[in-house]
Amino acid sequence: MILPLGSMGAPQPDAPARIGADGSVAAVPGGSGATPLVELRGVTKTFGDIVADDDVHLAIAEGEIHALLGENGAGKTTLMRVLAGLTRPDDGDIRWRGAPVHIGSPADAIGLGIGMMHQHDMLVSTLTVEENFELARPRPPLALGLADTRGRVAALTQRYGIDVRPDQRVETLTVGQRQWVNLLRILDGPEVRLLILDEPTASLTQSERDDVFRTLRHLRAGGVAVILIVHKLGEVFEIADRATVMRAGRVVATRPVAETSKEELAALMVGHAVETRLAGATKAPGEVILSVAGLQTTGAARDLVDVSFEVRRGEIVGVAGVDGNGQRELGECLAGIRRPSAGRIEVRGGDVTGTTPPELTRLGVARVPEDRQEHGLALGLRIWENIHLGRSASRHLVRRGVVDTARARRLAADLAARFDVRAQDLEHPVGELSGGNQQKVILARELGDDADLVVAMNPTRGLDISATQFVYEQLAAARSRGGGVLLVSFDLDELLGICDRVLVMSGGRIAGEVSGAGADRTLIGMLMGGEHHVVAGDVAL
Amino acid sequence: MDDLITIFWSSAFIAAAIRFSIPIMLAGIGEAISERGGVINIGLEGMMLAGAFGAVVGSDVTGNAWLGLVFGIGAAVLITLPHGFISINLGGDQIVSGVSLNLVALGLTTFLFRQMFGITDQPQVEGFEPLEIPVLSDLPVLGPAVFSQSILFFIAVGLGLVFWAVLFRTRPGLRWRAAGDDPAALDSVGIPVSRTRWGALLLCAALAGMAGAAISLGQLFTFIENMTGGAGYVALALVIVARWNPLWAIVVAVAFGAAEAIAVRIQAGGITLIPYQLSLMLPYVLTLVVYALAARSGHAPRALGKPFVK
Amino acid sequence: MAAAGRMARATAINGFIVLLGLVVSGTLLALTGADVAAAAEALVGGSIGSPEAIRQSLVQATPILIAGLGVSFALRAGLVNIGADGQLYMGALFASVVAIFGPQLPWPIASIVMLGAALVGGFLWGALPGWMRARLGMSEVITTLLLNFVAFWIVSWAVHDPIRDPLGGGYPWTPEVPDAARLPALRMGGLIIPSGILLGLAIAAVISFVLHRTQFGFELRVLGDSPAAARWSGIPVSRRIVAALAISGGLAGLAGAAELAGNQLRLSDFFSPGFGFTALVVALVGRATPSGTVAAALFFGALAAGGGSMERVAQVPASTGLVVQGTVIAILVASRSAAARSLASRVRRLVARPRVGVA
Repeated sequence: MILPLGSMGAPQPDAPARIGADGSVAAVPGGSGATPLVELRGVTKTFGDIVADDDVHLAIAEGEIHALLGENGAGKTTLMRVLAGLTRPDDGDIRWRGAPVHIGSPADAIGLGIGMMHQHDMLVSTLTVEENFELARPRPPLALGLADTRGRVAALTQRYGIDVRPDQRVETLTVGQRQWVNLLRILDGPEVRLLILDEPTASLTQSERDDVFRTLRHLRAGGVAVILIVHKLGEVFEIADRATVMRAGRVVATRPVAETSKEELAALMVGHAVETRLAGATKAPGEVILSVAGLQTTGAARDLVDVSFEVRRGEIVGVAGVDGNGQRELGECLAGIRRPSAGRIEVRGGDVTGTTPPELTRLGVARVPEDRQEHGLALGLRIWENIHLGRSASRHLVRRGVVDTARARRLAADLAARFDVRAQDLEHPVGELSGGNQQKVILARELGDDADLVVAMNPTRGLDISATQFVYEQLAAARSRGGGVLLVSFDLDELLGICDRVLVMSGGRIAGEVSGAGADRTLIGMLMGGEHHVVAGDVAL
Repeated sequence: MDDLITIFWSSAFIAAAIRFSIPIMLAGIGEAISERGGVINIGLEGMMLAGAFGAVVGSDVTGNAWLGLVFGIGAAVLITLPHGFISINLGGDQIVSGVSLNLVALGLTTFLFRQMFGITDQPQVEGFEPLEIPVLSDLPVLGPAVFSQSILFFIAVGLGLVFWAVLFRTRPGLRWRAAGDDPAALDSVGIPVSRTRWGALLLCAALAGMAGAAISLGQLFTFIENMTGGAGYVALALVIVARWNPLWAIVVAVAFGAAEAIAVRIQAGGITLIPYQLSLMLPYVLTLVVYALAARSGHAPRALGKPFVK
Repeated sequence: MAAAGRMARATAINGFIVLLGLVVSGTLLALTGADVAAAAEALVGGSIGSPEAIRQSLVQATPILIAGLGVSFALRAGLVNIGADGQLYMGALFASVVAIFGPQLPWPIASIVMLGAALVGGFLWGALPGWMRARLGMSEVITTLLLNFVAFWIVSWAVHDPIRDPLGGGYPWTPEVPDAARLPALRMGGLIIPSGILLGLAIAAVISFVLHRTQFGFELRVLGDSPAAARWSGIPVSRRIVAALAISGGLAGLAGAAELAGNQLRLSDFFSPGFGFTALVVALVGRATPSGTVAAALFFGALAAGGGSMERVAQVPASTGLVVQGTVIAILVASRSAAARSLASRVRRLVARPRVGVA
């Protein structure tokens, strides 16, 4: 399918959309009465303990751009992968133009006319651009028609003004270029009736983004339905006809964009304020315990750029930001497993830049890694052994290389009891525990010695309410006994609920800082979107 | 020095190098394709042994070397099926599965051969005799060396060229490369990874079967237990040096064949400078060096040996 | 309690797998015309039927036990050492050079020095791929496999030339290991126990201690279970990789010395009939635990001894033992594949056992 799009120099005005001048969606087929293009009914998908999607109902009409909103982990991507045939749901069914369909494989989805552009593109990076196009061609001839493909790819890239040669290897492209190649490949393929885009704008520049949106509007004009996973509320109002908000695996609401507001969508996204909020710090913060100055990295997925901040005793400092804006790299630097290329990290005034994890443990720095199963635990080892992990510096437990296992078991039992790890006994592999109990094992190990400084990365991800509350209490306890806490989280609600102040990261930088309670969410949202030039008021930096 | 030149630039030496290169060339081409598709075959040796055995049985039963070759291919494919099922469909460990293939192949061929022919009665079967190509075989030095080889040599070179083209110029080749580098991406465009990998693996088994036949029907005209003697491992090494390219597999196979030819020459007393074992060791050392360089530059298929289970 | 239960279950599963392997390969052999009943009788008689049969079984079990413990050790650190054969050859080479051509020492010093030399030889031959993995990012599977052949040709050259026995009857092999360096057999009750097997059992005990009671072993197990968790907790991953493969190789080297001093007495280039690969099988069947490896090595040793008697008594080639080994390992790898695991977890979910903990 080739788009009716003019050259970049002269963008055509939007084709007549099916949206009234007042933005009403009455004209959208399926808005009421008409059969939707695709309908998800009661889709449920679980991964182990975690319910990604819980009885989701969603209907998408032809010729609409439908925004899908929600925090990280709300179940948006999993739902879309079900539509694309990449993930099989545990329960629920899918209707296509009213008729039940089975989407058991990507081939089924493609056959229906469903194209998906993934957050991390699905291109083979060792192949060239034209070979990737060729790979997705249905029923291609035995011999590769690369000359033909090359012509088409060249025409497409020229039309969209993308500086990509057809015979370029994909791994040499920028992230933005790869996204474009991915999109063009879908459009070059069999006729697409439903186009799914998972956060397409996250890694695009402003002008690239404008180009993508223009393309989407033209697709809409041709009757194509578009589902767009976005994080930026502004983009919803810029392009979408309707918006569906998901939270914790469920659809919270679907609203015509014309009938809603940013405030309403934001409120739906974060839900009602969590009842179990922590009281703020009772006393003023004390001396500086962690000081980060001019931190830089090179060669990371998202390099840090001149990151500087301080954490004082008796405060919880949050780090907000959309996933992939440098939080992971910051956490790795602080955990002693990534060496910064410049800058300085000090704990209690002593330089710890580039030090090792055991040294940090000795200094009383607790690290709660982002991915507890991958980084935090050895799942095949026993519970007590996982508590012992990282305590080898202790002279009491290891003498001349020999572990005093009786003592280590006793200590682990004490800690497990203190941190409410619920298990029959500590001889089970930690992988047999539920997610919440696994996190408690990490907390027991890291916080058990009354750590002075806690660096916690998304510590409540995937946990249920009571386990989440437990984590909050432990962080608050660290604060009230005079420790400092740095909490990295994608959950704004969580940050605003328990932090004394919140740093916002964007593009590897600290974009700004807001006070914890009562902070202006819009402001944070703008900082997250990298628009710190517009901020004012209570914003520092 | 002059002595060495007369030895290496002689019809007899080059002919020997090429003769030794045929089995590892065939197996190397097959393994290159399989590894491009993401399946590594430690069991290449076993596939070859099954091929060598099947070919002798086939030739003995039918009295026809070509039908023997078909039997050899069939035997190699047959013994590869469990390995394919385990490593492609079940997502099991490809290395361990390959080790098991080798053990079964060695045990089964030895047992079956004795069962069929007894211990004393070595069958002499129809094989592939050297083929004198008119005119070309009269060329000085190279004529008797290159153009008086068994037909299998020309088949092997031809297959190397063909599969180079298949790999880089056709749809199945493109899919194999995608299956070995990024199976998830292949899956997302609606092409089943398992079917793609099965194709590459079966092709490899067929070529390994031919390779085995090239030893039994092309060199000895009979079967001896464990007659492949590690050629499968040489072929595995060859693929690394050839950078997973069938065209290079042809060249590297001849180079490795030359190492074997040198060793034979040393044993025959032609060269006394180095022990023959050093010559036989060289392919492995060379492979280690090339692999050390390739490990950094990352030429190996990225999902090699990694199961893809949805 | 729970650990014991898990162990019992794993043992039962492995027993079942071995049994299944015997049945499948037996069926395969029967289909191809073997007299399975006679073969089985010879197999049992030749492996445990008499004190001499038992001695034979233990002799056969010795190298695969010690090398198997080495392979197990690396497996616990997440490293697949398929180069035990080469390490065994290097160990035997070092051992024979020291014992045969070094100063003639009295018993038991000669034995100890010889075993030490073998340990060093295998250690170096294992440290090399360890270093390649840690520093150059080369897969130890490929490098250990390739180094097998390098070691083999080094040994082949040595026994053909510098350390060949001039009075060896034309065979390319070394002179016999002097009496003072040999591993004696002990009489216990009515049985004759080769001391090599006792050495293997002692090593199993030491490894068990190292893995479960020392910080070093603990760190290796973390590394094997989750390299990322090892990195996050500050375990020096590169150094541990080199150490694990070096020790693994050292043990394989020791297996070479045990075979040399306890059985063959001469090093030749037909010294190992694939001990290294059998060691891998033994380690895998034994789930890389010391006790499991002991059990598996004894089983495969008996299989080898019985296979010899099968050949003599029932005219069934000993090579059929390879079919059994290969079949067992194929069933094993299938049973531990991703698909089998997900099937098992689905079955467990159907049975709906309550979870250990509650969130």
